[in-house]
Amino acid sequence: MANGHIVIPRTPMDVNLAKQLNILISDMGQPLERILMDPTTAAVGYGIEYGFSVMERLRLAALQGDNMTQFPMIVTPGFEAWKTKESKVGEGVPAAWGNWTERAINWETLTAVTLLESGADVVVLRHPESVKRVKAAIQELVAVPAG
Amino acid sequence: MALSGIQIYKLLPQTNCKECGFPTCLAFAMKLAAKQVELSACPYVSEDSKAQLAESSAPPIRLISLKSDGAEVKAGNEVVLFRHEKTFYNKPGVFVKVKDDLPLDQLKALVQQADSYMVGYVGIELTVDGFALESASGDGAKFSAAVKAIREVSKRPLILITDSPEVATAGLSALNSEHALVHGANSANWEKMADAAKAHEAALVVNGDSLDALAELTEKIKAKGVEDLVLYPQLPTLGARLALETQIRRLALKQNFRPLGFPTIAYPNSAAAATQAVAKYAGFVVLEQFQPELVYPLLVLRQNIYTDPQKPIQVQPGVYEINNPKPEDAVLVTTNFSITYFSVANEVEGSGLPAWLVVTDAEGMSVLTAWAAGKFDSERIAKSVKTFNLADKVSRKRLVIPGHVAVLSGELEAELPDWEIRVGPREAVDIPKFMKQAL
Repeated sequence: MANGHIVIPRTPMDVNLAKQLNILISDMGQPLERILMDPTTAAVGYGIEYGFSVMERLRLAALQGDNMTQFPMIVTPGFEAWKTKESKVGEGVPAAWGNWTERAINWETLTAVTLLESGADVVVLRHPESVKRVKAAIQELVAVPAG
Repeated sequence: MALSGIQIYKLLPQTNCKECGFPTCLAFAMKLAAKQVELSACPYVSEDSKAQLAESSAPPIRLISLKSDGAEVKAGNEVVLFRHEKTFYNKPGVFVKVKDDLPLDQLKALVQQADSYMVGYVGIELTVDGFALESASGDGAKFSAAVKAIREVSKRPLILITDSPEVATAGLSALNSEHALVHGANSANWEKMADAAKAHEAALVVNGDSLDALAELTEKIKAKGVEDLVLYPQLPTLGARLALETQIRRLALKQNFRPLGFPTIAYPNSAAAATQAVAKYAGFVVLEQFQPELVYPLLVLRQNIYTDPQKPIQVQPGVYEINNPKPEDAVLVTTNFSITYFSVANEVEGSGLPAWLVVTDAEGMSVLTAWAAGKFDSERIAKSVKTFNLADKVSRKRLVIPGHVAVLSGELEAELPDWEIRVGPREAVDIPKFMKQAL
């Protein structure tokens, strides 16, 4: 905080906790433009719906004028997705899980894009191929349509 | 225009007969206004009132149901923009696209592979919902032959993709009393397409690249007598599609704008596009190819997004026997949150080692959440061990608790004096190693 860095308040998938920590950090004198909140998340299949809805609610609160939720959001889908068995394990799993490498990349990509759809501003990824695919998606998402 | 609860109340019998399941007519009227019940729940409403209420009681997004012999895929009937406001109801049907210019035996093999696909997730068996046959040949006879070939190997509902009313008719004629979906109508072919859909009681996709274009076409087609419509926002980028999908749903729900009160269909060309379709509002999702490594995470994501946020998915508390345990085998404890239970159960099962899994009633919360909320403490664990009569089932009184609640081990020893308490790993994935080395 003292050296002009950005502070990331990290709270476990809860709107009120996120807001509370943002308030505490701004009360300590951290300028609002140097807060980037991490509402945390989970991977597809491991509770992503909680993170998804918490982020949607945070973003809606911000748009309705609640200034203690008006910060960009950073989340770590790479870390979450690569913790899962579906990404880590290639042997002794059901054949219906499909090709291991593609499945693992898909797990990370789907997790990241789901979070972008719920309002993420920064996503931290691991696999270079996921980075490529998620970047392409972001480019399409922010492209301003003609008219 | 939607009526308020009071306006609806005036049209009801006002007898408070309770047969609709609500204590008073006013309570029922309020539920009707919120579109949470159907008017048909009231047995005594007059024909006159029914007509007046029909407009107001119709769901803002029409329910479209594709039916084949034995299978049904529903879309629409949604009531919120964001799942936390209530819940999303009808999971988007996932369809696999095939083309009619493939040799029939190849086509059948492809369909058969996807049709028999099944993957387990927290005890639920997930499958694809149907097939979308595209007329690549433009030939009605080929299309109809392909429809018949699919029907030899799959009973799942069909989407027929062609711009030609003749080809559509040929395809629909090959189906027996089904409710299929034809894609679709555009500003040039809509009249004949509507006729074809009407003749075979099919639902019809309406193409359009803007709200105006879509709304104009749906009105014209409805006037021709086809009510079951699906919107296809025909736009090139994720951002543009997201904007249009959101506007369509918002207009339907907030303004009760009938011309756009229909579910939508999406043709994602990437994993990212498929993700957006599931997260943001598509009613039908047609995949370019069948790839298990994409279908699996996509079906799981769909399951997650369409989970009712007000009800955590739980498993029944109790003692679960894994790999036929004997009295001397290990006893493990976890909570009844379904994802927690299945992560643990899958690992133990995969290890091949027999064990007794005690699932305590933690109100559907995961280990750490339940512990923080006071729903997974030594008292509750001890109570489970006692009420499930574990002492009668096992000879070796040794209880393994999750590593995340290691702090409970002391208290538990006090609660269960004749049991040995062991602390297991934090993550389920480490359980097999723990069981092999430490137990």
